[in-house]
Amino acid sequence: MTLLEVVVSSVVLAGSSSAALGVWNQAATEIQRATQLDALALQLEMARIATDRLLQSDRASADLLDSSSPDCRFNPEALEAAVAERLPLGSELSMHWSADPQGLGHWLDLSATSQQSMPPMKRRLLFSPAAFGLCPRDEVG
Amino acid sequence: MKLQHFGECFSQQRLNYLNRLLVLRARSQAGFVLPFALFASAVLLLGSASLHTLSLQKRLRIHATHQREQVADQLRSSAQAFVVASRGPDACLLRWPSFEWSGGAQACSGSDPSRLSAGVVGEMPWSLLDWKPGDESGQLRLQLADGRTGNFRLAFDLLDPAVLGISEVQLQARAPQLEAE
Repeated sequence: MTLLEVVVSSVVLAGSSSAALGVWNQAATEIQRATQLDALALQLEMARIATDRLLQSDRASADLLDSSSPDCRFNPEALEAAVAERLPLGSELSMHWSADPQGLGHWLDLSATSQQSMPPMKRRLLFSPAAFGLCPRDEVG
Repeated sequence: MKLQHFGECFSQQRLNYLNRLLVLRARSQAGFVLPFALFASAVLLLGSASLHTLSLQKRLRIHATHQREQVADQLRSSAQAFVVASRGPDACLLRWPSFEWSGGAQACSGSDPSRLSAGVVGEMPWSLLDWKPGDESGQLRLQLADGRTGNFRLAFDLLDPAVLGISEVQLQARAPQLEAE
């Protein structure tokens, strides 16, 4: 065992330990981030399923429809209020309803942001009262 | 004389043997630290590389799942658009399977099968692959412009043709691109 051997071994071990520690740190951060993204995706999916179930349930009624419109359409304010009342959303989740420009229904934009600086996860779905059997039959023709 | 020569040879061999033993021992001591350091470094680097691969795999899996959900959302939205299009005079067409619409359309005044065959929702074109009505439900197959296909079961009133509900989408493997219409 010479001094040169000890020095070279120490340098090799120190270099590889430092590199491995850096990669471990990066991997740990990545795994934590991925876990957060997974949790956000789950929240988005739960909000989607809950909205769908709400509109399918018996509690969804003609109150959600826009009575002033000749077509069978959702009343966006009533819809938003009903969903907000029955679906408690976490602080990370936001929900926005907007009318479809072609009049097909209303778009639900779901967005989830985490505390870390990551781009928000988004989902976008179209909902129409006709698809839930909410439109009066005499209008169906 | 011979005995003396034999004794010298024996002493010489013992010395050689001892010398070799000492050299070997010195060599074994000299080579211990560096191989150990190299082995430990390799283990550390391989371990960290494996952990990094795992983290990347997890990220890719989440990305793929999110993309799959977005495709499912597009198909769900297309199914909603199909139901909206099937209201009014075109509701009558729901009594027949889609391959019979050209003939069945004669019995449905004012209906237009093309309105139920394709559309655009959220800038994504969709097309109808198949509609098969049953007693209380019908089977709907839709395809997006990128070739993704989804199946739905539609709760359906056959007497007064109207859709009452849409099931969860069942995604299918990517099909070839939509043919030119």
